[in-house]
Amino acid sequence: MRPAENIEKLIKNINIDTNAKKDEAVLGDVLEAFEKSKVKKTSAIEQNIWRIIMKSRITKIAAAAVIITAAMLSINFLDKSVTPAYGIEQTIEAFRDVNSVYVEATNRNEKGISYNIRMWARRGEDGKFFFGDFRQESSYGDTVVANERENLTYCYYPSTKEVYIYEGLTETIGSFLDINFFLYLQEEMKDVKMEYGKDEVPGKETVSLSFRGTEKYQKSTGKCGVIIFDLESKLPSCIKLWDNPDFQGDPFTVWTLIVYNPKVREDIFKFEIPEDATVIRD
Amino acid sequence: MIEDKLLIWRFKRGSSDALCRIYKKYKDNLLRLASALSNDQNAAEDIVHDFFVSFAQSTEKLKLNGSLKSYLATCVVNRVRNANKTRQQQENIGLDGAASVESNSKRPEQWIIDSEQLRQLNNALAQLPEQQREVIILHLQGEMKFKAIAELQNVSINTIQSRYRYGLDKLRSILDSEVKL
Repeated sequence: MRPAENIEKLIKNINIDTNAKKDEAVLGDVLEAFEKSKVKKTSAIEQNIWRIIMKSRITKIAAAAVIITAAMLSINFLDKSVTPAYGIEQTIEAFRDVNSVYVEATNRNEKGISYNIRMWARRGEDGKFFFGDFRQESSYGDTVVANERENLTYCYYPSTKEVYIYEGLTETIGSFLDINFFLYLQEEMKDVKMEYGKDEVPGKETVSLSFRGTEKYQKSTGKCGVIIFDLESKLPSCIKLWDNPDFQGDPFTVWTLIVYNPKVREDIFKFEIPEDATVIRD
Repeated sequence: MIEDKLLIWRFKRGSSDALCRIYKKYKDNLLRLASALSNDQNAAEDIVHDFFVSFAQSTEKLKLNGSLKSYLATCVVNRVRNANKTRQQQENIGLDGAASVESNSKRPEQWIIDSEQLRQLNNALAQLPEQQREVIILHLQGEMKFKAIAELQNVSINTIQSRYRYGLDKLRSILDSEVKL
């Protein structure tokens, strides 16, 4: 009898010849269809608007008013052009060039006691999170290391001298410093408001974006928050989160420093199990 | 996963670069899948071509809940099923009157790596019931998880795992009997 694994391996290895010329021809057709559908969409939208406007006499008069108003508005926009426009999509695009990050933050625990944390993260394989390797150190001495090569996550608690080891990368730098979060924010987040020019980061033009989280993100990002973006890089430079939905009291976490693309030492993402620690594998 | 989400996001906003990347990233996998399921490489090439053309025009309708890879595989599998049905209907009609015409399409035997073992494997795969063959090919070649296949075939994950197990057992016995012969 052949072992089942051999058959599985054989099927996985079945391969086909691909013809580069054919590939290019197919891609050409695909792109042509894509461009045509874009043109169709634009002209359909334009036609619809024009049909609606020109259907009645009232709307014809209104159309003239719309044109005059639009001309006035464009002058207004020009006046306000001192403040660069910002959209979340610019942050999503800017994240493409982020390969590593260093963060300093202050957190508050359930008892209201503040403690500091430092975090390092590095982009890795295309996985569950935007970042792969990750390290977090708190002023209590608690340490979390997620090592992509080992595909393990270590959580060390010096107070109990315990090291928990989990299969896979179960921890990351925070769901709100992840492209996933900004994609979600753009599509579904409730009550997203933007304010320009808050001087939270000295010497930098910023835009502050406040949001109330939906259920999916409340657990990890708090019930509401403010993200301050540097308008030059379009990346977050400060993050504050509250555990109530109305921005009441002090935030439970404040990210005071976010450095993008710092040089990160290789050993930062290695975890040495302390000699006197008890290892608990999950 | 993250890359795919970004690709879809950019594709929906009209980026042809993102569409190119999606095509290049998944075309081989989809072609392998379609070839294995249809047993006909020419038909598979047509299916993948037609699918990508229609995908390129779907920016407005497209809404992904799961992974891009599973979505693409599901679309191609459905197209293969439709093509297989049409082919079977045509073959049935053909049996009544017209003389059978030798297909000039490239059979999997030609594109499989030139090895007797793989040729036998392909023949054995063709002898499996369609549902078992589909599960095995989707799981091993399409790299789809049992959960995604269960959703595609609209049955429970246990049924999919059984079909996979029975399919592999049957493959093994077919291959063993061929060796004995």
